[in-house]
Amino acid sequence: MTGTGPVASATAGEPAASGSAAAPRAPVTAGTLEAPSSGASLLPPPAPAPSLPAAVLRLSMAIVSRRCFDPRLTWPVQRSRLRAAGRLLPLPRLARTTTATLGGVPVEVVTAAGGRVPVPAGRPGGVSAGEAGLAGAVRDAAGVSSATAGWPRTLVHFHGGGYCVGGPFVARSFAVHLAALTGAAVVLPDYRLAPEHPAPAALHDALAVLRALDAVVPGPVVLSGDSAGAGLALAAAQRRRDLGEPLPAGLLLHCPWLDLTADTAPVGAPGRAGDPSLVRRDVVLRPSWLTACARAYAPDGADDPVVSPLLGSIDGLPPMVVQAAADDLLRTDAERLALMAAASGADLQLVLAPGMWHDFAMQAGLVAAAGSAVRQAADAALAWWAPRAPEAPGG
Amino acid sequence: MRRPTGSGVAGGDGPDAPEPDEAVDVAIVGAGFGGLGMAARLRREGTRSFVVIDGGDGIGGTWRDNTYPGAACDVPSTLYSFSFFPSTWPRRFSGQRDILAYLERLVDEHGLGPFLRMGARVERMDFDEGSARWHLRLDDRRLVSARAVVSAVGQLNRPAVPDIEGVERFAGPSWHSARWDHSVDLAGKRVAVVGTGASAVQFVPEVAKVAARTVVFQRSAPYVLPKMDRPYSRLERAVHERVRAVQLADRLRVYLTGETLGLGIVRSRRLLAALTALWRRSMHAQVADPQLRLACEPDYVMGCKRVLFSNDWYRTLARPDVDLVTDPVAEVTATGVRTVSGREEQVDAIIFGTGFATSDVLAPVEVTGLGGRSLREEWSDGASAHLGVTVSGYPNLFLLYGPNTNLGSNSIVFMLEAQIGYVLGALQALDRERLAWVDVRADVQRRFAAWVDATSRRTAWTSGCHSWYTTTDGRNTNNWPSFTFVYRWRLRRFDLLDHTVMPLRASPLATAAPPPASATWATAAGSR
Repeated sequence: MTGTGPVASATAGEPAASGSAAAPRAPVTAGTLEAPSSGASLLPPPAPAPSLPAAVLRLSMAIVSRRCFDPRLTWPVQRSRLRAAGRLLPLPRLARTTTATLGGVPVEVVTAAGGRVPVPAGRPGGVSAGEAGLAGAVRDAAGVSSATAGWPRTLVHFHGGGYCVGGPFVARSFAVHLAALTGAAVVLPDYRLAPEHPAPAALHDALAVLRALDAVVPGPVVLSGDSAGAGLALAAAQRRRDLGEPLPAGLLLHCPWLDLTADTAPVGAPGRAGDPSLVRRDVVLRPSWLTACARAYAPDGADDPVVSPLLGSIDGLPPMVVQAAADDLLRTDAERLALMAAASGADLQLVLAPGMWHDFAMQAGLVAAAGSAVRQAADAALAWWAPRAPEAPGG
Repeated sequence: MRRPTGSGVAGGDGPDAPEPDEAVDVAIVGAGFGGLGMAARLRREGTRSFVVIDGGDGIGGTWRDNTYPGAACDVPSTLYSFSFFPSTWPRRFSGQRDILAYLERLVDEHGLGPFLRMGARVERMDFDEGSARWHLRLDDRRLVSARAVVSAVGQLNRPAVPDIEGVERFAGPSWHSARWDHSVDLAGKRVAVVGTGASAVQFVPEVAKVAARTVVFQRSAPYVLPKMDRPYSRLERAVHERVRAVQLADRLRVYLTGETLGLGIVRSRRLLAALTALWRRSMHAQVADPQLRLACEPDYVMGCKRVLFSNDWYRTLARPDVDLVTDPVAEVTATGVRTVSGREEQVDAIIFGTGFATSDVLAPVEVTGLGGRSLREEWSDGASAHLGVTVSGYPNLFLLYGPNTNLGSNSIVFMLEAQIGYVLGALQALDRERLAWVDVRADVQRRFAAWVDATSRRTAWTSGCHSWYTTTDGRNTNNWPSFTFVYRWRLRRFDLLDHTVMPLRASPLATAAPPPASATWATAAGSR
């Protein structure tokens, strides 16, 4: 962590010192969000202090992941176990979560509310339907427009889960922290999962959500995703580019899964297990689970950019921020994307979190590195939304 | 000499890249305290090729340039030395010659000689994105290619001579204190000294001892506190040599004193008042003349400018053959100096103790980073670097004694050691994670700069005086605004997540072999 602390932020409603004791429950500062239209003058509120040593959380992740991401279990068992684990994830109290339907796809809209709206943490779907005049309004696209009114920035985040498990709840904590730092509305699509709905069902859902938002959101959205969701985000951006549709303002890819051919390699090829020390260090993913997910999502072969966007072109895409974890089997996908961007001159910034595991930023508020990653994502998103704002060196 | 390896880069130099005369892992620019300390630590690590480049014809940096009579350090030597290279000292505040000898010993004992490239200044450094290497162009047209650059060019090395009319008309000898003209014998001469900064406070008492008359032109009076200096006895030196704990204890004591003084400047108004009272007592004890006392009274809060230490400054000013002139200098004539009030002093020599160009860190070197961005433009309204070490957009470039790492009251060597350890951590991270480069995130650097600004607002430096500690618009770009242990803590490890990275182009799936442990230093280290 940087330990930089809050910087004279008159809008930060929370003293810096209060974080340590009650960090997981620390309210997201509301003060910043009362003037969401004030543009780039938003100063990030102090990030909640980390409350868990990374080693403790790492162990918890190892235990949870071993029980959830196991190819010997059926998909329904994996899904229900992951949902149960999701209940353990604490959420900041001031988060406001509503559900809606965009382009026929159910979505969850997360904002950091100015008022005290308790979110029933971890309830399946996490929905507070019927709440404070919002839920009724967001049943259709026009409703989202009113839900995001006063929130000129919109970010769409696709959750991870190997295209086979998970739901918006996986990324809810990340979304809340991002919403608090940017003043944005974060849309979490509940896209269809494999193997019931193999590719390109998820991509079709992603495109449907983005097309529906085109009509109701004033400016370009920022497209984001973690793990398989990051692959989905990149594939959606590529597809929209190819079709000449509006492009996102930027892409945030957290621990992206971009090349499924590495997981469906024939027996004998090194594939994802090619680095035994990395396989040992990864406490979340195992090669056999990734293979099962890849076969379920891409039964007809993974060498299509629709499922393996790393095989497609990144020319003409908006700027990207890519976050990788050092102890993550998928870090090579992020690294290869960064090298691709460097070769083609694309605007891509890669960060690598040493000692962190796959999807570490989904534990936002629990571990210092996640806070740092969220701050970077928020900073990048704000810069993309306000491209003419004066930038600091390197921006 | 070790062969340059040039290993571990993203690829070979591009086809159009000029062939470098030398390719190394680390290029260190500057052979002063910082550069030599970095080199010594790299030598002890023993796994990386490096060179130290310096435009001078000898090592030592500031401590080679400043040979004026009385040149000494105002931090006690037990602390103004590397913790990994202890030494015995002849007195508490060592002189320039002893400090230079210490650095020469550092070079000898670490076998740094073959790594030094003296006599050619670095003119420009360009980061080549294709090969992920820095190209350093020297002023003798040589080209050095390096994976990482450590800039240790210091802050106080370019003499600043004020733009006074007629300087070139003066018929006698004149020089800047950092370029002392030892061929001129000042005995019996009339000497003008312009400036009353840290150098002048040290050399004026020495000049006054031999000159027939000394006229000191003062723009702004300094606070000069007594210096608790004395030579060490033979017994003390013997103890220092044999019992390291005694020296360590003294190091700690000096460090804590420095931090306490710093507290006065940085935080505590009460402590500042006590120090001001101490200063006044000391000054009044040496100066009886009420007129002179008035001239010695600074017009700003103590600590806003650098606080100086001397036992004979005020005593010297009180001498009958020394004059303190507070009228601003108007011009230099062929035979002397004239002030704005028309008073003209006839002198035989003029010495400029007017300090150094400080706000433009790295200024004589042209630096370009990612996308051809220029550091000079980036820093046009004040230098800024994350933790004083890294600048976003300039991968694998590390600054020693960079912006906001100067101190008002403690040892820069302490800061240098923190920075050197941080740089080593960065180099290790590059190897461990198989990266071509690291580049500090813009948002991280911005957050740090905001913290520096906010913290500096509470210090005496920004209390409104004009000093080299701040830019023209009053922003602190030179000093560390907090305690030095806070600095050390924040640099205790290199946080890779604070940086954007570029992986090596080699297959990311391949495992990296750990860097080979080297025994080159082990034997030498064991002998001490």
